[in-house]
Amino acid sequence: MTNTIENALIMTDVMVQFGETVVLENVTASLAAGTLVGVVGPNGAGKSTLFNAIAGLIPLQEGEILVHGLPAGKVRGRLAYVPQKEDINWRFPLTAREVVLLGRVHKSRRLKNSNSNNRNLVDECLHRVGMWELRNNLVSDLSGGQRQRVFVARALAQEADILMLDEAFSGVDFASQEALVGALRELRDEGKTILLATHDLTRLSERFDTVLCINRHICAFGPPDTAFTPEVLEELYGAHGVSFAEGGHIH
Amino acid sequence: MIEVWENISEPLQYSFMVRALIVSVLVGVTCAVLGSYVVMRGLAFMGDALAHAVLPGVVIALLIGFSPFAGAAAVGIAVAIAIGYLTRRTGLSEDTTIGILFAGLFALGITILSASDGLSVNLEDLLLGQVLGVSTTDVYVTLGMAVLVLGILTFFHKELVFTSFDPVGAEVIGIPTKFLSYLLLVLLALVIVIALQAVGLILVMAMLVTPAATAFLLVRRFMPMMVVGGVLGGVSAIVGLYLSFYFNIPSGAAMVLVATGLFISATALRRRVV
Repeated sequence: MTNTIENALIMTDVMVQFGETVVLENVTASLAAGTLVGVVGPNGAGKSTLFNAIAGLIPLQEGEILVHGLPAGKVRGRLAYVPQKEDINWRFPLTAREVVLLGRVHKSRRLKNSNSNNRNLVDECLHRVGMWELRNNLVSDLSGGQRQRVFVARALAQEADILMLDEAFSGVDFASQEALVGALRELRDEGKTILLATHDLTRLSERFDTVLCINRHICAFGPPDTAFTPEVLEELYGAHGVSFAEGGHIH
Repeated sequence: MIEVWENISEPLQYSFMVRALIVSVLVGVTCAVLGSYVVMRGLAFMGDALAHAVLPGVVIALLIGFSPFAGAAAVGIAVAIAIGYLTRRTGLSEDTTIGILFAGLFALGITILSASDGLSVNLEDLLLGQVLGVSTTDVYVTLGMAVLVLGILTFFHKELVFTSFDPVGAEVIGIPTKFLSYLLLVLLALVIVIALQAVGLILVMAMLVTPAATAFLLVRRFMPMMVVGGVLGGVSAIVGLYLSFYFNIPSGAAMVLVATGLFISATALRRRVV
């Protein structure tokens, strides 16, 4: 594994606009490889947009994003994305194992004789997230937390260096959230960079190394204990600050 | 027992029946395999609309001596792009723009067809199918198209599954999701043209959707669904064709009724989905 590059992700003066609406502006931040980052902000704050920009799916009006030194969009295999549950077609009948196998899609055609290697890797990934026993269940029949772990296994199978999980805690009970964070911590210890977007402020300082608070621009960035001042909370969620309200408002 | 065998073998003495049988089975199988994507991606209305919308493409191609497949594929792509464009441009919902284009193009097709004399096809055959009239060339073309469509589906299988299940994740990993969506619509247009001979454009949708949906009720896994759907599509085609032979009913209607009967049986067999 080559995790010697210090900054996995460098964002400089990023601005994203949809038509007339500025969705993100002045986003500047560098993330070291091997960090577990909480991307925090109310709904509509631009968390998903930031992820899409990092993945190179949407154009930047201004600024630059470098992923392991390369422009976004040129590093696609190294990025793995766990979409919000609304973006998945749950009707599509795939088993947990079939979903993890999808992580090999861009690699398996090239190499001959890779099928059994692929299968071994996929099985190992299922074991690592604790989903081996449920591998033959349809993902649509799994709980929210189990589904998230299947997608993490897919990211592992993809051998990605950077994982982005969008609203990974929504619809997931507290114990499963903790289990997910546990699995992500292990990956972090192996040098993966993990960004998890959430509007849930529960146990942020226990869960993340770094928090990136956004509400169109970066409100705070750093270790959770120091980043979260009352002023930041108010900017993120309005006067009611610490309430874990679902729909924070956008200014 | 001998009588049953005679009933089965008797129609096969006629070469038109053999040709019809081959074309129907190819159509039944190909429609159902592609139909698994139609069902799982929610493209039923789009499929029905494309079936109607390719009419002017087919008619114009025949008029200028081109392959109807080329005409249908061209219109299919144009319609797919136009639907995306109109939806973005007008802010109307996609089903509305699909509805507008499909009715408009269908009307255009009928108009061109009725204005041009000396064309070898008539409207009724296009609407209801005329599988007993297929030529040896039609058999080979249908076979070629079926192999092409199934080949492309096999080649892009993993990518198509990925984008159908998780379009955003697929795009992030570098799969050309837009290209694949258009590819599916082109395949749909091609399959619709071969299906026109067997069931006609009004009933194409049933061959796309019904066997695949029945298979979903029986197996609830995607790959098996394609296989079982293909078998059910083929069986519907064969049984339908025999019913049409013995009871003198239109072949397309007979095939669709068999497919629908299988669907109802599967629904009854299956325990209710929670």
